[in-house]
Amino acid sequence: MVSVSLRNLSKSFGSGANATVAVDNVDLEIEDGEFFALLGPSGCGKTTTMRCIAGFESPTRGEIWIGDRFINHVPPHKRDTGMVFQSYALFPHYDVFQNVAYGLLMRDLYNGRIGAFAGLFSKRLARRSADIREQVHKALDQVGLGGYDERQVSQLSGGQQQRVALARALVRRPSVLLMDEPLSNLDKNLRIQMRDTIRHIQREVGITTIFVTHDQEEAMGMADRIALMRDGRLEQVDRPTELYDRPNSSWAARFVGSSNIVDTTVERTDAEGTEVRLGSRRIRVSGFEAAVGDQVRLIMRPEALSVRPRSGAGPDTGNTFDGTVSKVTYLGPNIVYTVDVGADDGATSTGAEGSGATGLLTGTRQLVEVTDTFRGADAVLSVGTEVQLSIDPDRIIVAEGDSS
Amino acid sequence: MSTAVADPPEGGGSSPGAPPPRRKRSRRSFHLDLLSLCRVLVLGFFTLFLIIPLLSMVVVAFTGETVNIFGSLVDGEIRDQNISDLRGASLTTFIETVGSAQNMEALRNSLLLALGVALLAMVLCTPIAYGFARTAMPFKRTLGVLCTIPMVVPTFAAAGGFITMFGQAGWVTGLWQQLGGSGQLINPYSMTGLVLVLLFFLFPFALWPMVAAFRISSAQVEEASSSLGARSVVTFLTVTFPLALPSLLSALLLVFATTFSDFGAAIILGIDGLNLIVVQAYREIAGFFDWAAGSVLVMVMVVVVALFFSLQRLVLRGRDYGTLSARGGQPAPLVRHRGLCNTLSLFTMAFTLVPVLSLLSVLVLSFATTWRGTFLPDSFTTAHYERVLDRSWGAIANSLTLAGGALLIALFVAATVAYYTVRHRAAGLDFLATMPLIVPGIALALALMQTFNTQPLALYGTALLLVVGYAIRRLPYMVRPAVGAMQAIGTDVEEAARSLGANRITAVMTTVLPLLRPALFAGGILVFVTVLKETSLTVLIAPSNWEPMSRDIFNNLLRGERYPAAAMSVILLVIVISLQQIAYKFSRNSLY
Repeated sequence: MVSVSLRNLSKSFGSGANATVAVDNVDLEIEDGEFFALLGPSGCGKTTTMRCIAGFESPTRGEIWIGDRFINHVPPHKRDTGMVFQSYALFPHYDVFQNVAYGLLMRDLYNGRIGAFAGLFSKRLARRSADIREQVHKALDQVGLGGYDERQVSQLSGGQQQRVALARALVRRPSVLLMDEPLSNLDKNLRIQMRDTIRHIQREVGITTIFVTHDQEEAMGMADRIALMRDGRLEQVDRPTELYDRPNSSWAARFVGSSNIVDTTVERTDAEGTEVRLGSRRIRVSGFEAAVGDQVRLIMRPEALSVRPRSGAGPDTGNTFDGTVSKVTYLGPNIVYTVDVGADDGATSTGAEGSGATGLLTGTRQLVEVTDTFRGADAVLSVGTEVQLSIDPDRIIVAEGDSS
Repeated sequence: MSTAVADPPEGGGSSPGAPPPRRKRSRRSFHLDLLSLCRVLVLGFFTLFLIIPLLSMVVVAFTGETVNIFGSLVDGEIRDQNISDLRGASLTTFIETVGSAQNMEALRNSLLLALGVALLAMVLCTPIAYGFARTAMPFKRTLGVLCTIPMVVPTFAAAGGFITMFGQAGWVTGLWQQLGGSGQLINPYSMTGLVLVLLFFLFPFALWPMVAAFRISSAQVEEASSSLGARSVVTFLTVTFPLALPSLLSALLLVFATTFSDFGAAIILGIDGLNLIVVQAYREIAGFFDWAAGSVLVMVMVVVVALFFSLQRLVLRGRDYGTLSARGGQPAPLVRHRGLCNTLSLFTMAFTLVPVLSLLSVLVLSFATTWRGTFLPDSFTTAHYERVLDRSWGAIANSLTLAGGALLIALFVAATVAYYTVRHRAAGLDFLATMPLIVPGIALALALMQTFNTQPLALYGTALLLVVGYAIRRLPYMVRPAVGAMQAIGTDVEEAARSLGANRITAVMTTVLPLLRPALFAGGILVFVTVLKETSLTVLIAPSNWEPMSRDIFNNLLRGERYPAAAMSVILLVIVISLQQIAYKFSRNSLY
């Protein structure tokens, strides 16, 4: 097994003044056997990055290594990568067996077995070698398509075509498996089922896998690590839990899950941490150093906040602030409360120099979303309820990546 | 799984992070794979057999002297001669040729002929097209076949059929005289005769695009019109007809260009009395061997045809209502008005009567002992077929071999052009492959004869030049469907093959070509069939030991040997029609 490294990889299309930069100075180390996701919105360069690895685009600058092989100038067919395409790209003129056998026939052909060439044009001759038959059947069994080898690909459902594409890519036992949005053409249930199948097979084979997706849920649910891309650059590379819990920037926080972004000002610092203004209160943020008066941007996940009516509030647990429920969205197991905390909007209002009261008096609405579990119809708070919100200082994220 | 062992030139051995070996890139630029070789071959083919010949033609037209471009490349003396000829280039030859009263009249006649046929076809085909597209007229299927067959009949054979009916000894003439008429009802060897032959055999080129045009108007648009208070006649005039108009005009221009450059019927019917530009050019080339005058005349033809083709493009530009109404959902329901349907059906039958009868006449003639002026021949015999098969069996074999050769070249060129046009946006190749559309057969024939009749490339008189000429002339029929099919093949299939270990040429051969096959097959039959009936190139450049069927018929017609010409025509038509049927069957079944 092998690792994949990208060093200062850049790719631009066009030339001169019209050049558009698709991939900008990407540096990545993908480890041996890792399931690695390239995540980002469309046009962020994730597919181009993958196509550079596959060899369908040649990088403008930078290096690509697979294991200890420098592969910038190696043509795609010698790169030892397997690729699953978004459209599956199955060969419509071949049956399932020939589709899967294609890569094996190619290998035989390059090993000097001219007979393999005939197999590319004849159904019967493609099945002549016992070795190929065995490997193809094994690959089809692995993806749960045993017995489908005589089918024409047009007779298969979307999910089955996806499995054939996977078997076809894996049968050659490539060093790296590349998958370009492989699930985007499937309906929701099938997508969740295929996620498990892909992950299961990947673990079983232990192959280094790079997976391109725009769906953060898919990336979070499947990948060992995620590279979040934006405008051709790497925004953040992390484990899914880290990416969610510690996004570098508000952009990352918003792309991965929903979040409350609050701009505010540092009001106090001491040995235990920092306190910032939020509404009429000050709240504590840990693991962060700043000077009084610094502007900071806070990220709070809706589920990190807890909400309770102010009337029945118990003792102040410390990190709390007040607000009024302005909207209730019921989502089945969860309820999302939109709470107006009436804080100053640090980014736009002028009352940012330490006197939080000014901000409050300007009357700017600052809305915060809070996710609460559904505990019965009686427990649902109604619009207008005065509430108290609290949050663990450890779960407030300071968007340091935004400062630049 | 082990790491693949990298071969040294690909940077193996060096550790990650080390700078890539420099020489790699420079080596790559010299790398020529088989696929690029195909492109180079095709470009060379076009340069050698299309660009240089046409260029020579232009040079000849302006210098009045023959030019030998290939000779100039290898022989200094020839080069000097050519250069001094070029210095003497002037408009003299051009003006003399074009300015002669006879040629001016020829050009005018040809334009009038083309215009007349095109206008008549448009006026007469409009109701027929409407009938096919929008009504439930009776016998639609049969009439559809009858309106397709004339398209595959070579025009010289059509002229032959017309002579059998309306000639001095024709049965219609006989009937006419029995009914008390004097002389001939129509003299086939006249402008009227030629107009009628071309009208009745070229009208499908106008009809079928018109049918398609009438189909695009959707039910909703017409319902909208009638719900706004328009009567059905008003709807036709204000909605249906204007929507179809651009396509109708384009069909008109196509018929114009085809008629203008027609060779077969024009020569057969016009060689003795009609003054047409194609007849004049044929006389200059085949009669007086006057390259200069011939070049000028065919250049004028090229310009006229090119003009009308660009007019056609202009008419169609931005007027493609097809996409607009495609969203309109269902096609309009067929009109079932009894009177209208029956009238249209009768009109169509009457119209197809002429081509059907002239083809039947050819069939009857081919079995007749003698047939002069009576309604039916004296008696029937198969002697003509026996003689034709005995004496001219070789012509049939020659035709099939030559067409096969042209087909192979066209297949290779069309596949390469389609691939590079779509994958690498090689617009130049596409343009080159479409260019033959505006070059009338007689112009291509002259250009090839003039260029290849001397050393170092004296190909004139060989079958090779004929095959190449056929391939170039009919290439557009194959390139268009191939480019269309190629556009439907995604790059991902090819990339999948590449990532599975296939190099470029193998990937193309195993994934792109099989998917292109239906289009190439359909286009291939069209090339084969049109080569079989190709006249101008055949008559002018077929070597005597490679005489194909079309020249056999043509010569017999010119000599007035009607019976063997008829027998051979029937054989040719049977081959052509059955091949076209096969193509039709296959093109419907082989879609993935």
